[in-house]
Amino acid sequence: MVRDHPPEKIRPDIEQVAGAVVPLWAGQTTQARSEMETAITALTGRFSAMQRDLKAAVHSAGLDSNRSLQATIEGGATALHGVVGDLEAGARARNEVLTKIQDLAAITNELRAMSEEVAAIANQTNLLALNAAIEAAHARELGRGFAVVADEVRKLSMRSGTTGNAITEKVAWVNKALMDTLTATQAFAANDSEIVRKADVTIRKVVGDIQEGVGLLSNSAKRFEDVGAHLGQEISDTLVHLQFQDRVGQILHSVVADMEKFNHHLEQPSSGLKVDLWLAEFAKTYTTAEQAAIHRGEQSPHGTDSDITFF
Amino acid sequence: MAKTILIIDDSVSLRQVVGITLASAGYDVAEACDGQDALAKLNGQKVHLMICDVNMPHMDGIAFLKAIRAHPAYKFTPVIMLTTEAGEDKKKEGQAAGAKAWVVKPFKPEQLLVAVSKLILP
Repeated sequence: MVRDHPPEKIRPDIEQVAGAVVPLWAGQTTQARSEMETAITALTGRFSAMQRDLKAAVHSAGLDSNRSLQATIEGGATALHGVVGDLEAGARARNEVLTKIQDLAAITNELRAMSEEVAAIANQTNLLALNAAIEAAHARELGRGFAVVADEVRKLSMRSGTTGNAITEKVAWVNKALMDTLTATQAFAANDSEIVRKADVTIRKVVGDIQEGVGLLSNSAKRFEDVGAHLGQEISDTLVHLQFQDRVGQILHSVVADMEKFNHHLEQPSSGLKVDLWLAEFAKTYTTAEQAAIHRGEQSPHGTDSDITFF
Repeated sequence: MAKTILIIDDSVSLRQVVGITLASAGYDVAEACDGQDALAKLNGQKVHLMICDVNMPHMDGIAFLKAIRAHPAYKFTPVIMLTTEAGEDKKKEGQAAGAKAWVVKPFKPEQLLVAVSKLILP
């Protein structure tokens, strides 16, 4: 890399040109370094913000919230099925009431028969009392007391007959009320079963539709999470590559410092530059392995693997 | 409570990259632009680890390292040097000054985090 000194006769021209151009090189290199640093700092800031926002977005739309939604739906479905179970239990209880009413209706039939029997007995007793009164009349004075008893028996039989008829009427009325209740309750019971069946079908359909929707949402969220993770890795890699600015900045800083040193020498009376010494001094300002490799005329090493040494 | 890491680097973009890397792993991050600025910001406050550049204006990383090792509060605070300097001489200088690790830029975030988790104070 070391060149021969230029011929002595053109050296003053070179010195003049170098004296004029080296400060420009240094100034423009410094300007380029400054602009690059500003731009890279802004870029890094934006990528950092993108990575932060992306992470937050992936987190908020992540599978966790969908799992929570799924759990909520499953909880709701369980509760709704519980309501259907309660409705079914209600219908069963109503059927038991129906059975009881039917039993009562049977009992009222027996009561009616018994009250009719009472009325028949009263009729017979009345007839017997009437016959007894006739026989007492035939006995004239001797049957007077017997006639009184027969009259009382007839009155009792009439009262029994009246009460028997009243019981028969009441039993008929109760029986009719029970039959009306039975008919109405049977209609309700049939309606209840249909309502429960329809509610069950509707709940199953709604829960199924929501679960299908949540499934689609979960798939979308999973895809979003995958894409987010991929983009996050891309941004992370980009941030690694953006670190080149720091390395380039160090290299340019070293070059500019050497240019300024060179220009300073040009301004001095002939101080006798020693090329080897100059280059050795320049090499001391290197910070990167690449600078050292270029100095030795070797291929510049590449790679982004971190070199870490623990002490 | 999150642990605090102080980043000392004169490059704003590098501080941003290191900062987002550490923040994403749950660390609290403080920043300084050179050794002098870092000393002023530390001012006796506890940090659990420092990540420091070597070549900086005003006070470079090695001088900063020597300064904090003389301070009782930071005598044993782990310091990772994060630098473009790849030469063995500089590494030895850093080790002698009290650095715990030497990372050559560019760094991979996950590798830096491994180094941090190995060295950070409990």
